[in-house]
Amino acid sequence: MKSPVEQFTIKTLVPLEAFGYDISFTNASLFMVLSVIVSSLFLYLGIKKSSLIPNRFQSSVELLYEFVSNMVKENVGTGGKRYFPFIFSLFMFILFGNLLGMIPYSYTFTSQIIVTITLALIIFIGVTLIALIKHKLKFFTFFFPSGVPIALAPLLIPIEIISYLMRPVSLSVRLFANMLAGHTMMKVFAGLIIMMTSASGVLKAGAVLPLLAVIGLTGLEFLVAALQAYVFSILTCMYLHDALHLH
Amino acid sequence: MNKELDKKIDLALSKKNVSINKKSVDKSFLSTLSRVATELVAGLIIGTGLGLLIDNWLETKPLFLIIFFFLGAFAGIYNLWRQLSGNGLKIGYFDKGKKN
Repeated sequence: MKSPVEQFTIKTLVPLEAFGYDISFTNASLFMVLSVIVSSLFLYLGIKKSSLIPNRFQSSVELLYEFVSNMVKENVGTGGKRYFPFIFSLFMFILFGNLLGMIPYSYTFTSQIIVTITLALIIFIGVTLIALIKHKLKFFTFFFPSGVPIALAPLLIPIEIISYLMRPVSLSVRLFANMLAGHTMMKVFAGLIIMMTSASGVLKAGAVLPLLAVIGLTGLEFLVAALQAYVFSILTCMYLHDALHLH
Repeated sequence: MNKELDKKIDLALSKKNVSINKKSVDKSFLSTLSRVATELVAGLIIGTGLGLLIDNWLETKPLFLIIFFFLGAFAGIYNLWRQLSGNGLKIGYFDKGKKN
């Protein structure tokens, strides 16, 4: 029987090399491309025959658009409209990456920490640059809360700097750990079914228990897939808000 | 007559408000739960990482490693508290009451 973590192995599909670096096209890259293509097709086909009374397909596209639009409006505040295309692309990329990973025999690229930390670092560096350009040196007052006695500064400033640097780490670890743990757990319980059915007597009859667990976990994983895409983009919105408005 | 009507309106409004609040709490509960889980780990990772970097730079192993380990742990708990007390993950946010 295959090991439950074998699903995460990266396989090279097209070997490539540039400047001494291995930039091969792997199964992870394939599903990233697929995520972009499927989400673009989904959005394009949904609004192709747009009518005043939307059908189910168009309605689902509009719901997603409005959902992210409201999220940006509520969480970024004034001046957030400019960043809507980025947040929407990010949300769709992660959502479809997570959902495509739920198809049997496919690959979940969000279960690789290198993918999520790259996304998180793009956001972190971008947000810091936006704040620095907008507020110049005033940005550094960010690290000292207003209304705090000055004697606490040597303790609070390092803590606030650590808090700021924690953002990309917690953002990426959250998405990666959720997908990794969920998919591993599904495979472990699925393995239990096979082990128990090949046993004899009471154990064989008990195989129905892990089967029920797998059914429940599959539902839970769909929830987690959507929830993590939502959490990732809503936190991006909050970081953008902090960068644009400081405090 | 008017007072009775006012009372009824107030009652209806207060009921409405309560139900709205409950809904929003339930909706954001799951996302809050999954947000707080990684804060503690992230604090320790960044704290120890920064401590090691400073130690390598100043050659003072393990002084800053120890200091920043505790600072990172504290930052994680501090952020957790900030998030759960409803202030979100705002860096540099200290006291909500002082602004109002």
